[in-house]
Amino acid sequence: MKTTDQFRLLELSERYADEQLSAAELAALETELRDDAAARAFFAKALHQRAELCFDDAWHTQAAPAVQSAARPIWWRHVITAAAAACVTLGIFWLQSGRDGSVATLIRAQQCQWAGSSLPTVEGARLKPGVLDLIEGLAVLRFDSGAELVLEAPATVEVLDAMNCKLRRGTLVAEVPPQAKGFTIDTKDAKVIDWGTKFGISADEDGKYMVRVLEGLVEVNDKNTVGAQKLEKGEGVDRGWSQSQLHPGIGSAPEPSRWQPANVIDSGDGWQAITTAFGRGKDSYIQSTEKPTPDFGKHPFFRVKRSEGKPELNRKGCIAFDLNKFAGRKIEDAELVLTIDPSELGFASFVPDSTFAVYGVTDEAADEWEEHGLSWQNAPAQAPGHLPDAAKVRLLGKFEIAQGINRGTRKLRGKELADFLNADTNQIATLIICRETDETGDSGLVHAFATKENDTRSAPMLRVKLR
Amino acid sequence: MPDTDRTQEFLELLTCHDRALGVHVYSMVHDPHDAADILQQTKMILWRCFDQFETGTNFLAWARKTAFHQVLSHRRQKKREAVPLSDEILELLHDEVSKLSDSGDRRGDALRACVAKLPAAHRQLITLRYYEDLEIDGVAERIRSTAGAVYRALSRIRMNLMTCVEKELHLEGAEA
Repeated sequence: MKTTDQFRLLELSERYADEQLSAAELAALETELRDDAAARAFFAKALHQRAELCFDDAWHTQAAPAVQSAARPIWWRHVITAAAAACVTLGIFWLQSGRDGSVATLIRAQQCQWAGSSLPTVEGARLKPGVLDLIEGLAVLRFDSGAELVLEAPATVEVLDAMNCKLRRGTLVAEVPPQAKGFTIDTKDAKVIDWGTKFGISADEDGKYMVRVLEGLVEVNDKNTVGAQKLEKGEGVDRGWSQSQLHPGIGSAPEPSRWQPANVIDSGDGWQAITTAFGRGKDSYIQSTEKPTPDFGKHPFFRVKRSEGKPELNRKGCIAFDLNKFAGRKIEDAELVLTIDPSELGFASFVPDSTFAVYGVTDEAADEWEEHGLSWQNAPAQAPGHLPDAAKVRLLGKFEIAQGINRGTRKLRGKELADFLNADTNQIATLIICRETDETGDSGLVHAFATKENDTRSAPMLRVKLR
Repeated sequence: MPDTDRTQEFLELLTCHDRALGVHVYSMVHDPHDAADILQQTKMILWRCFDQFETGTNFLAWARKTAFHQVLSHRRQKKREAVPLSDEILELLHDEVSKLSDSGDRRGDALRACVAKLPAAHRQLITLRYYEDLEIDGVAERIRSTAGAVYRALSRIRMNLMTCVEKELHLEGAEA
């Protein structure tokens, strides 16, 4: 077939598509296509290529990712609407990649606060490549490939395209359906490729990262070593993440501490405050395990968790305030203030809005517990199961932490607490903090609250109003 | 109604062949509205009739055939002034196009690579025409040219792309 014929057929195919051919031209084309197999094959190829260019715009985004198209064809919106209607009919959802260059949708934004994100942050927003910076809350992104990411604040994610994103810092849980196999999450020091699965990943700007596979298979390519590591369900890899969280001081230059409340604060309006750092105050936590645990008393936080599925991971906070300062005074009103410490354990995705219960230990003999050596077996008012021995405690109140919240303070104030403190005779008051809400899946978040060992966040504080 | 496993199977097959099916329909039908409608109808029919599909046989072939019937009935319903090409020729073209979509996504991948290699001016023309869906006159206005010149320029670029794609596919075939 001559090149001139090919040119002619190409032009005919284009004008045919535009319905610009005259009756005579059409008749001639019809005859040619019927009689000449080579012409037919070439014409088909021209139509096919044209269709590829029209139907699939990946060539455009790949060739010139920076150029945003000025005009967005109106008809395409109808296609998307029609496709959405089809979803409802079929009970399936159909994915069309956006012609405006968008590659993902922000499908949920729960209690979210955003920093200087380059992308829209309202629910339902279509996202083009850019950066999302989540300060607080939980946000769900669905990429057009079908991959879904749950961002857990604080997290900064760069959306690249329907199959790629970069986790600059923070934690997310990825769920990748079969059609999005190969979805890749890049971090500073590792590239994580998902082969149809569910996994959690944390990463930081210093390169540290942690991957934990919840289902399926994940491939981790550490940029500092050669070769890929395949991880299966239940497996994980930790390149310094937990360490950096547990011991923030190690390996980094000493930084000035933040302002810390003094041991006793008199706010002048009759209210005084102490923390667990005052006097014989103490704060620690216990975990439901037979094995010896490390000395939790030295941790800069106390952890609280409830897991019916894995009861050996249950944890409760145990704190005590030295009431010496208020001895002999009548406490009119009281308030407990706990500061949430961002937890480095578990995924917020699997823990719904949670209720916490605070118990006061009425059995004063139990007040003599020590941070060192405190265990599930010897802790105050212990009873089999998750809750303390009802005969030795009284419920002082409850507070809530919404899903995905990992900073801020929680306060518990009221007559119950004041009455409990007034009933004290040995000038020490022990409180037990339990989470009533179970996790909805394995590896759920372990809540944490700052202790007196915490350099940056306030220790548990008791504010009282004296008569 | 198929059970969940069947639903899963259907979704996987449809997802896997979505692009090929879409390109096939767009090859046969040029009006994007019509093509989208036909594609959607086809998918619904595929779902309704999925009971008749035998696992392990060629899903794409079945889907293309279904789509082609939709194309034909659409043409009949539309009863436009002049039917561009006869059903007979359309069917012959359908067979030819089917051969192309059998090469899977390799052809599409090659095309993307080739578009990326185009000089910027050529890529702009392709973008105006196929991405922004401008009419030929619109393209001509944008680049201050005439409709005839645009057709000729497009044909030249398309020719380059075709040669490039064949070369890419050939190279790939040689490597494999």
